[in-house]
Amino acid sequence: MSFSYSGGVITQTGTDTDLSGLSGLTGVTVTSYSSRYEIYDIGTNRLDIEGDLTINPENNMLISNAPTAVIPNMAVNVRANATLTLGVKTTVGSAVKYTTGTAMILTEPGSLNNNGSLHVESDGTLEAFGATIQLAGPTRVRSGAFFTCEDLTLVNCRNNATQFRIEAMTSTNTARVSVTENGMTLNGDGSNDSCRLTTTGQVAFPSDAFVFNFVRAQYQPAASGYPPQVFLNFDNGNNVDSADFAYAGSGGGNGTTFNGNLADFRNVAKRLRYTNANKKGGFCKTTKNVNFALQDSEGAGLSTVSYYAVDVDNGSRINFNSFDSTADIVYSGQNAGPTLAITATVEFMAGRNTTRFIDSRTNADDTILFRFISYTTNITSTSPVLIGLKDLDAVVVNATDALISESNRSTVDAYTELETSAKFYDRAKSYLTANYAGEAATLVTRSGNAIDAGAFDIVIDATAASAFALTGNTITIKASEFVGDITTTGAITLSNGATFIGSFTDSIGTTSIATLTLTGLQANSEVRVFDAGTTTELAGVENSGTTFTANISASSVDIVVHSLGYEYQKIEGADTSANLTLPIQQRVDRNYRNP
Amino acid sequence: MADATFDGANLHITLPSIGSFDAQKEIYSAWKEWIRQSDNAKYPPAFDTTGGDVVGSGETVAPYFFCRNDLGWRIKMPQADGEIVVAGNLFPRDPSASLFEQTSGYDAFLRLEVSTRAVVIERGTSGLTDAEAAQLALIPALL
Repeated sequence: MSFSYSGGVITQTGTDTDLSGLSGLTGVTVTSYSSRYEIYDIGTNRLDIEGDLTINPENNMLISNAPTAVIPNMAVNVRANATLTLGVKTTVGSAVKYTTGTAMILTEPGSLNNNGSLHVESDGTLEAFGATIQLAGPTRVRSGAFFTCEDLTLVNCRNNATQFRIEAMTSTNTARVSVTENGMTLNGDGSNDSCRLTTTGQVAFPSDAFVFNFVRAQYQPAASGYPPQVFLNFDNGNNVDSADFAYAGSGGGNGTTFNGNLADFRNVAKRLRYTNANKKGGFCKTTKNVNFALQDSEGAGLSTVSYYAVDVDNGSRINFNSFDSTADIVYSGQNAGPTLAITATVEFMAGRNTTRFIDSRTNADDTILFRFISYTTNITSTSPVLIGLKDLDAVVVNATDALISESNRSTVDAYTELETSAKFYDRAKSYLTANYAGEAATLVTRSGNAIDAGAFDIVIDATAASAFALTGNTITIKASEFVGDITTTGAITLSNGATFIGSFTDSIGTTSIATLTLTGLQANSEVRVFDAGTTTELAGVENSGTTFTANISASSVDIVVHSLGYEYQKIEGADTSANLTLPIQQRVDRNYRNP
Repeated sequence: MADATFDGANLHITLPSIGSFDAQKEIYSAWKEWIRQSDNAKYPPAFDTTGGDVVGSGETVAPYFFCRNDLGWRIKMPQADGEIVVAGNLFPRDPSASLFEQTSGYDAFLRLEVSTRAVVIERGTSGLTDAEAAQLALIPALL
């Protein structure tokens, strides 16, 4: 380990875990506070790091008044294969501590695009684990440089423009850049201009985490375009700058037309503000990670949940310079759970020069309505707020559907006929779960033996191809004989010989059909059933067995039981508004004489 | 004699001719046969009956036939002049309402031959008909 001085340049080689090696070099002033904190002012000397240097800001601070300069010799340079580590990360168990404090002050300003205070060459490494750099000139992280940032604050300490410029151009080089954990905070508060984050390439950085906190800053991609980059947990909540995203270039070609590269500001602290950096086009979106925990009423995870949401059309959909956001975004899926991760789009922006369109995809309260359904649980909904830092964890409690009769959905799906209200409801629920499109209510509801089909037309078809089908507004169920009550404001139709027992109410009126059963008949009796008080025959048989059964649509009937060997019997006004079973006792007719 | 005919729509029981009729066989039993035909069961019943129960010693309770004139049924005379004898305990269900109805333009005289006996003697298969037995039962009253 060593620092050496030569001709106004201090060169670090080997490994240094602090700055003590600077002591005694030409132009270096050391100020000590207590026994553990020293400030090393290297004056106007340039610092070239060729080994591994760590600056713990809780112990050391480096001050440089070296003038900014052009590549390759800026004020501080991290050369190829060298490493500058700012801050120290301490991990104990699950606890992580990053150091705090200012590691470097680089005081001299320079040309925004040509000069630099801090320069990391290709194959050089800059690491940050809890430190602040106060600087007046730009930082250049060259393409091919390694940049690992878990906690770094960049403060523009003088009244001039500056930028932190990440110049990775290829996937190999963007893979060398990671800004995670606490990420990078950019604070241009010492200047009358923004502290800018600049990228120059069009290849995305590791997209699962690219974390920035803007205090007074903007993301301003280079005019050559920008990558389809996800800025995770983009903290602009306290950004006193006038804008968060200064678009410049659509992503390529110096043009204005959308080329697919869409900057993605995710989990933002507040809605983004936009401005144009130049006359070129820019496109971005704001998104939010929502992690639903799908549970039943007992708190157990559910894994067979269907979900659906469609975003909000606020009348501001965009179709501009090949960027088209006019279509709804639908979030849907089946058999999800017990956790469900959704990345919802909050907003699109498309602009060129000062023409700018902003398409909010949420309600005014920053929400989108999500609905959930499973076979065994009721439809439930939640409207997560999609603005705010970090992922949103939302527990969704799905209450048990008390109307389900058969809890085994496979059994229900295997039904070949739906001859009861219970089977009808269960199968309709299973269908809805499998084909869920955000309905606020089940297709039909059930109360006991009664189905309320809302406004659906209902067809009961004895020879239907499947047990249940929904086409348009028509539900077709297969049943030779349906037992139960159905109500709809649509129409109820019996097809291919299907019959029903119960009360049907549709747009025409109410039809009640009950089962009339006569037991104890003498065989070969003639039975005739008439609408009560009329001669309108509803059912009958010439030669009965000992039991007679008929489906009756009248609320009351007259029944004639006639046999030559037995006395004529007529039962008047039998109540057939519900199923009726009558035991019949026929007296021998002792007075009949066979002619 | 021929059986009575029935018109369910008009609730008429028509005796086909003058002469003697057995209420049990040619009217009541004929009605029961008529019900079985077509959709005649839809009409109100024309009769109900009681009696015929065996009480032992070869005797049965005398049969009674009540025509349901309360439902509108009437027994209509034939289109002929002459005497009609109806043998058997034939009564109207509603005594206050008429049971028989003349056919306009004809004079038919009706004589009901009813029995005052509570029981009748059971006949064998080669014995008297019910009507004959009923007529026989009238003899003591005539002596």
